[in-house]
Amino acid sequence: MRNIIILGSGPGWESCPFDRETWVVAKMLMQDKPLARIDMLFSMDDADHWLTVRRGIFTIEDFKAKVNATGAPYYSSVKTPGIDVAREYPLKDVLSRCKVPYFSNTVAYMIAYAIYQKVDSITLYGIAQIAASEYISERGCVEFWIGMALGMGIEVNIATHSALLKNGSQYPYGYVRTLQELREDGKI
Amino acid sequence: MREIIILGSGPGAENCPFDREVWAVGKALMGTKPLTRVDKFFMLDDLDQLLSTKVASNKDDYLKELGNLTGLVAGLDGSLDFGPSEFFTKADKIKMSIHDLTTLRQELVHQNRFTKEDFIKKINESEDVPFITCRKHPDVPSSVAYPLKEIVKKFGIPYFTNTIAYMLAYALYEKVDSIQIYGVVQGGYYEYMKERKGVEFWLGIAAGTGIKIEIKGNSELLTNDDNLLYGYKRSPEQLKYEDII
Repeated sequence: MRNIIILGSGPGWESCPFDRETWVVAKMLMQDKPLARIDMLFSMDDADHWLTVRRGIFTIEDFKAKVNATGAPYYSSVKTPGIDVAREYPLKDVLSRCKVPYFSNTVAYMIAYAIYQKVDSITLYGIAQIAASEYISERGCVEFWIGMALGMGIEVNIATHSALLKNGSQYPYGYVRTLQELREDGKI
Repeated sequence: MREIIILGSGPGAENCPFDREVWAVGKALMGTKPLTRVDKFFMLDDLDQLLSTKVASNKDDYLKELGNLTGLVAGLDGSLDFGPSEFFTKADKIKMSIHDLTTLRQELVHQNRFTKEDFIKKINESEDVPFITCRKHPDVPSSVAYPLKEIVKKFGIPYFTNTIAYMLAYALYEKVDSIQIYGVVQGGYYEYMKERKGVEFWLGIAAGTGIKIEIKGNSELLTNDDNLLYGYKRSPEQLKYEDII
């Protein structure tokens, strides 16, 4: 059994137990708290555009030093110079299995990679998808890849507070009773 | 092989070939074109909440939306430089032709004539076609309650953002082999902001279980912003050309 954690920087990430293979959104390295275990790092973004970099809170060189200190493979859209274990994301290989070239953020690429690697379970920590651009533009894509994983028989758990797979309200679309009420009435 | 079409009421619905089992949203009945074949109707919305039936209670809102769209159509005089509208958040990103927008406007004008009673009359003309909805409707003898309990039991996730999401879940439940989608753009304000993601979730499960999915015509579904893959900043076509995918 290969069980992994995908760890983002959203609310609740601190409850991550680091008790199995942990794939980390690389931006996590720019916060202060230590991460007990990192097996892979992913960042498909252009680091020059990160808010923390643009605001001068962090430099690219700081970031590269942090990545190199982990010794973990660092996956990105291109092999990043100055990172020892930089690896190009195997997009072609991933799509040979998953077919659909639809990616709106790094987490979507991570789930697709987990599918490609045929893991047995994925548990998400700190992936809230509640910031404006995440909620509007990115969330649907992450949910597509969660759906793909579930469809392929991979167990997916969302461990911390998240907008993922949640209806906009307690009422499933069209129904005049809440999920809780429908459960109590034996309707679901 | 069980192949179905899921037919929405958005632009492109008119291209549906009706050459296999067709599951249509109820609103498709309110379009200008005849539906040559429908095997199931779905409408999980409350009839009173349909756009056209809301007109009677709040005509101003409807006319405002229609006005925005009219402005879009009027503005398409060879230039695609129109601003975002309340009705079509992403109209400038969906490569809609003047023909598409004009057709959409005509459809909305046509829908404006529909009342709840008109809809009930129309759905009852198709008395042999199951009308699948949240609960059996007293005025529609063909109405059938959506098997929510069975579907949630099978898939474990009560996540439904619109009627299309319910239709996809139902198709998975019925173990169809392929789904073609016509007239499902998901580019309207609420569709894009709130509903598209639930549709994409169920599309993901369908794709993962090996169901062949084809999204026909203009749609925001499974489409990257600006058609560029995140991080790569190039379209799937460019990446294919460069042998990256």
